[in-house]
Amino acid sequence: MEKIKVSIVEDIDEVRESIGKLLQGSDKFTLTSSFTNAEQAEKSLPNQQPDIVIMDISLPGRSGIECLQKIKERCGGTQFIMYTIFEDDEKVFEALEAGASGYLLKKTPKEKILESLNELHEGGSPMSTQIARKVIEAFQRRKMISEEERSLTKKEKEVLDLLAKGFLYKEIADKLSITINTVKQHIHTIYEKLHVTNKAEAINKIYVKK
Amino acid sequence: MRKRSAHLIAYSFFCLITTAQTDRTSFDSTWFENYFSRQTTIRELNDPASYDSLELVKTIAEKQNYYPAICKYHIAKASWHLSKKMTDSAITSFQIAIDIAEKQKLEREGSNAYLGLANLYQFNGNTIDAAKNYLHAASLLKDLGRKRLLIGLYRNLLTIFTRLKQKNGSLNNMLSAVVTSKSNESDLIKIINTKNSEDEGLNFPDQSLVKEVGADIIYVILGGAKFKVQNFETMASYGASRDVQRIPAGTLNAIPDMPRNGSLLMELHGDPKVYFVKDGLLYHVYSPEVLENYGSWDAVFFTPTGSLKNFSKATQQVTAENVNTTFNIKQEFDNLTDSIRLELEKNTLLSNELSKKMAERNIALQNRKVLLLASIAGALVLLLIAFFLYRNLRQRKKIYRQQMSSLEKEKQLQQYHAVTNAKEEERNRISQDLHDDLGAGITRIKFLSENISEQLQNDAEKTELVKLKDSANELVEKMSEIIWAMNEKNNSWEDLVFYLRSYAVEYCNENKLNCKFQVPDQLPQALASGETRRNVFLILKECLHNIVKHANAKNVFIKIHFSPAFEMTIQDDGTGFKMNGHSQKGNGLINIQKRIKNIGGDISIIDHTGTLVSFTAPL
Repeated sequence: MEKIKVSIVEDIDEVRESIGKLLQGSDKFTLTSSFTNAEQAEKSLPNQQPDIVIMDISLPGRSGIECLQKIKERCGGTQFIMYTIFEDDEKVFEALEAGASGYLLKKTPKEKILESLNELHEGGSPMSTQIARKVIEAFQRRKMISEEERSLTKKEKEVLDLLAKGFLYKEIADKLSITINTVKQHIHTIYEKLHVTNKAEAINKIYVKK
Repeated sequence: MRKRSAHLIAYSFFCLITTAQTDRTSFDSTWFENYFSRQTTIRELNDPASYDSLELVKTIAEKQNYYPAICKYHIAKASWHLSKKMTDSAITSFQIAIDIAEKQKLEREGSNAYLGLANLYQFNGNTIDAAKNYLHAASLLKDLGRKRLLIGLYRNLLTIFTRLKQKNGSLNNMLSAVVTSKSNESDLIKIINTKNSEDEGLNFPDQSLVKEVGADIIYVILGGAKFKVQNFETMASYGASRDVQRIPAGTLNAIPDMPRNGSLLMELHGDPKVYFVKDGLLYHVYSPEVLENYGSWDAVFFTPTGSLKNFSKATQQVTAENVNTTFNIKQEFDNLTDSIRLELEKNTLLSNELSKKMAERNIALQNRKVLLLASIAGALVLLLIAFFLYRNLRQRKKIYRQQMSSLEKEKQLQQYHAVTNAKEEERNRISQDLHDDLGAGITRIKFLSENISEQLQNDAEKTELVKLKDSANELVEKMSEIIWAMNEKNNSWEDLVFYLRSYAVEYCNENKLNCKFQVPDQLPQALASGETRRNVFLILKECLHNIVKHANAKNVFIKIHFSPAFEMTIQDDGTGFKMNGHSQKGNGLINIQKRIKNIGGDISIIDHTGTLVSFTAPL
């Protein structure tokens, strides 16, 4: 089985090295490249096309979000995972809106990082109460695009609402009589729809400018 | 039917009379003369049969075109109208008689009609029309040689002349009053009304007894002149005490004193002579033949006893020889009628002048009124303008003040915004610093400690490093909480409630505690300050920490309620706080109480089955 190619953009040496070691030691993942800033990553990543990019948000020059925005279109098959200290950060949401598939907290113990990466790769995404609230707001804000693209399914809405009210995945699964994995799948779809709406909005903006 | 039978009765009555008078059945002038001399007194006419005969006679006269009779009929009809107090009809009847007489040159009937009409006007106080009709009557009577009538008319003309002079005098007064008066319209109207009613109250029939109110002397009116009544005995010759008319004071001034020219006077008792008055002198009329010239006995006025002795008497007597030189009635008549004509002309002139002046005066008044109205309107307009100017000024002032205050407010708002912006910026900067520098630093510590611990063999040392790593993680968490509380975007109670739920459930989950968290469906829209949010969160955190560390509980039940203050109940099924006297718990409690005090809330801790912590915070 081919190993999942992972690339990391992180300015703190210890963190980068630690994650690198962790990935090298696993039999599922392989570290293909690592960058200390956004500029280097922008140059190389479109050519490398890794499966997953672990992207730190606060980088010395351009931020991880700017970097993501620049190369996302050129990295079709790449999933971007934001690597952040605070999960209720405004910036996490910005990144998710810009096309990130999920986020990973830096406080996460090493043992759990690989598990999370695997989950993310398979389509599961974490979403905190604060992020959920911001996602709801984002969907209410987007009115330029068609109803179909904009709207979430009834189930997705329910999941999102419960998340925003501080419910855990487990509680949501119990409440809606679905499995935790289905909850995660819903959240993944929500993120994707968030990207779509974002893209549509961007296209709209360009079109209007012309 | 009834009318016809009445006519028949009248006709038979009429036939009876005629047969009684003459044997002739034809109606000639003599017959009519006789009829009218006998049948046309008022008393006769008030008998219905007699009245009907009058109408019948008229029909006969009309058939024969005998105009003197027709004329006489109308005069009689006028008298009848007068007896019924139908003045207007009477005037019309007289007028018809006059028209016929003028057309047919009937001087006798014409003079009678004119006299009747003149008397009527005089009685009603219409001096001018009376004078005019008297003049007509005079011109017809003058040459007829009816001396008795003539002398009566002469006396009437004298009265009318006096009246005219008085009237013209008052007209003159009015004229000057109108010209010079500054009086207002209502006063002028009063003057006009006086003008129209000036003659009223001055007409007293002969032998009237009058007494002015407030005066002692009783007068008797004879031939339009007044005599003092000397005593009650004399008065009795004219009437009783009850016949004395009380008249307004000053009325008698208008009635001339005797003697008047052309009058024949004789005392009731005492002086047995008949006197004729001329130029204020009394002439003794020598014989009844002479008396005939002045109107005979009928024309003699019987004056109060002893009243004539005070008058001057002429030495000359009126005899057959000098009767025409002493008093040429025709000449006197001409003089008098000329004077009356003059007075009438004067009256017309004065009346016209007065009307003109009144009209001018009215126009002036009207103009003054217009001017007054115009000035009132002008004043009103000015007032309005002033009012609007004032209001405008006030509004401008108000607007100015509002602008000033709004400017000030804007300034304050700007300042406020500047301050909040500065605060916000400061917050963002702190967040950024926490995030970038502190966050990165702590992360580095964490990863370093992990790297080192992997290389170490000593377990004790490893444990120490794990502690270091946990502290680092805890630091990150706390920083995360601070950043959340500082973020203005999470400032509603709703945000807080969901954050609390999210934290509590996850914390319990991590610590193998069964957590039930109850939130109301409706959450208030009010905002919660950063301090409140932070304190409420930290209280919950402290409580949950205590439960995990000390209570040995399996279940936690958390309930949030708005009543309308924020109210939170945290209940566990642990050992209760009395069971453990740890100082650590004491510190936690003190912390909680301090935080509650900070946000102005209240807390109660009950030892239930487990512990029940309940606290409130105002919205």
